[in-house]
Amino acid sequence: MRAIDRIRRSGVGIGPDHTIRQAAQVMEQSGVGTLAVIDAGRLVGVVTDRDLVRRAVARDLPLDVRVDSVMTTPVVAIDANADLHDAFDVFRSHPLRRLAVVDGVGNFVGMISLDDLLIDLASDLAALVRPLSAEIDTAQHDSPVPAI
Amino acid sequence: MRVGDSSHAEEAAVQASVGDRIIVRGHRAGEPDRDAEIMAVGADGGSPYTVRWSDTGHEALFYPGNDATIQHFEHGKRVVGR
Repeated sequence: MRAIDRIRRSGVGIGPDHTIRQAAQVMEQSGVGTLAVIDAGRLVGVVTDRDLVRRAVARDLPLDVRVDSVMTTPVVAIDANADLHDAFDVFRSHPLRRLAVVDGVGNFVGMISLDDLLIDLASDLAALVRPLSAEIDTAQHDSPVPAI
Repeated sequence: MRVGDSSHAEEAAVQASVGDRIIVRGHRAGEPDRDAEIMAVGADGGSPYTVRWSDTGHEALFYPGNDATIQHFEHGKRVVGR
């Protein structure tokens, strides 16, 4: 399975010249906690609600500073056609909750959420366990030994 | 850093036009759906879309996922009323 196949939620982005106030408003309206920062189509950074709190609010930055002053860059990203196991490796080796997905030329495609991956894995496990449970719960009726 | 580079990009399956509306499904119980108007589209009607959220009119770039549907409208068609 490819990484792109596990993007469950829409991605939302803003330009680097937007203010942190606008970033917070877009997060609120779109219901996401991570925004891609896009410059001329390319992913140049990501900014999270946590970044706004720790890098802006906690440091008394004015709300009209540019979002690229508090974004995380460079971005850890995965190619859209990479195998999903590569995404697992990235989550294992980086302290991330969301992983940016880009296409072959570096354009942003979306985000993979660790939460969503865990939900998918739990669902997959449940599907695998179901036939085992049925086998255990249902009495086995072997064929009788044929009379000779 | 980028993992698993590939030379061929996937084409976005979703096509939209300016003036269409995007509905984003709420992800948690009680979370309302959100909607936005498409103000600009990428090449060949694909993403990213520049959208304007209906709540407050702020604009953002939108990359539709499985949680989004697009409502198409017949552009240029005038409804004649009485």
